[in-house]
Amino acid sequence: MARAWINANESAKQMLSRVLKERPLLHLPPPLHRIPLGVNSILEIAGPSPSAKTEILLQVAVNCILPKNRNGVQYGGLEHSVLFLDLDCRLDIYRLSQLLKLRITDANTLHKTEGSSNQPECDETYVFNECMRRFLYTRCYDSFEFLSALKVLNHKLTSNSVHILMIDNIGAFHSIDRGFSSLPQGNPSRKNIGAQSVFETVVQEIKKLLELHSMIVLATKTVTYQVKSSYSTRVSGGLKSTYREYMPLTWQSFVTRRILVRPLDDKRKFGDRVCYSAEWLLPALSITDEFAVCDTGILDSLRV
Amino acid sequence: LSTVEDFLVHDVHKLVASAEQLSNSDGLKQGINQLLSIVETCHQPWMNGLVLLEDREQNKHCLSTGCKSLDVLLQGGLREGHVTELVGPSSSGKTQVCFQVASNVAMKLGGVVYLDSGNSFSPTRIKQIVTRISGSAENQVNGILQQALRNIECHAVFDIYALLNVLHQLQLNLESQAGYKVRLIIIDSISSLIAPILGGNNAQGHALMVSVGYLLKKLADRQNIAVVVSNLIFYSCW
Repeated sequence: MARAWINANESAKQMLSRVLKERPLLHLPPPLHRIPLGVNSILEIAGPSPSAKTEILLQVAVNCILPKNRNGVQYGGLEHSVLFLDLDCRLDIYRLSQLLKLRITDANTLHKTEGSSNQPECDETYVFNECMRRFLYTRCYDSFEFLSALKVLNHKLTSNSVHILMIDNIGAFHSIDRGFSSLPQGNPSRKNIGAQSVFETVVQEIKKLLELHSMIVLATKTVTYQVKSSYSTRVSGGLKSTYREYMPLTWQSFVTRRILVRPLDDKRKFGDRVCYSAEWLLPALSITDEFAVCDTGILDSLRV
Repeated sequence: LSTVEDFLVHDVHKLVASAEQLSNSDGLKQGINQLLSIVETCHQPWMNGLVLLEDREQNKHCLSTGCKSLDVLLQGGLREGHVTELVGPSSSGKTQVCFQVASNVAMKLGGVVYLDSGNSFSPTRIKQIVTRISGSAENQVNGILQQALRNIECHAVFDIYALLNVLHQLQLNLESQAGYKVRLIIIDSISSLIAPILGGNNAQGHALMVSVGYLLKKLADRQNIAVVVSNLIFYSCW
């Protein structure tokens, strides 16, 4: 009996093929393309302001809400719904609709040039509407509203499909919570509402969501740069600029992947556009990608 | 658990699980459901992309600044629901742009709230601008001028707390009075209100600044107002 328990159930190869079938990995558009994300991943996109973080989220959102194909036209999307929690309260929905329309038009033009039957124009509007309905958005003006939204989300989500939860600027209320934490209560059993406990609850709620629904979480984080010039860096030439991590430990250890984006001064590669660099911190890769933002979305250095 | 805040921070599921273990827990379950529906009203409702686009098209119009080249630069004008920042060094024309925009909106579109932090608001200058925009002669402009000046509500604010007070009062008035409608809020200049509280190890200064930002964004989005703030920067020589 004990021996049966110790015997192997399946080989590693069998397990890998089973897991990959049940939980397919998500391949994201550049600059997130180097590391595929599985379900239950938490990706943190950190960077100073502005560094195209929201633009990256919108690009991923467009990829997710597009269908795989409709009426023979290949859109190459994932048909997942996107839940966008805007804590910065600055998203312009027009930009998302612009990106989506361009993608749909491109896919249709490609389909027509490949010589199939002519599709009526109203199809594009139908696909556009269907995609926009998969994009769910809400704003939170303080951490109270953020917690409310997360608490209710658990009871609201019913479908079994994969959802992408996007949080735009997880560090938005950090300074407010830190500056105005509530007064310590006399009763020791009541939790003190400060930055620490807010994030503990946020992590707890997201964990609950991940348990009950298939979900991937993408969060942006605005960081400020500190230029550290120590003796060793001055000797080796150049200043090493690092960013200051201000999020509580509960959030830092909850994140499974981290990427850092920042603007570059070098404009040579992409014409006159502002360039950004993307560097994976978790898992740490030594390659840095460069990309720029144009009307149609994000331009990778490979595609220029 | 005494306040809604406590409810949010504590774990609902444990509460539900413990409720199911009690035999006469129906009342408690009902209470939890009621609380959840109240919590749902605590945050902004979820909207899908189509609803957002529709709201943008129907409610968030562009307010013309009265100056064609500025309108082209802003792709139509000052958009309602957004906070536009005018940035520039000293004496670069920020206050003049504020006057221009205030006059144009007050004449043609509706109410303007002008929050002045440096005693720079000048009704004479507004009169000059209104005369030029309307194109009529100086002695015939009185009716239009009266209407425009009546549409501009000017408040002098000299510190951040006064600013927060005025904005909160404005929010209350907009929510309670049905006929009261503001199209534009101008803060000239917000840097002189925020700079004194920043710096040092004081976390509160930063928190106050961020709160003002959120209050402005909330007013802009929920009341369909265009907000303009002017900010002073210094160009460094190296």
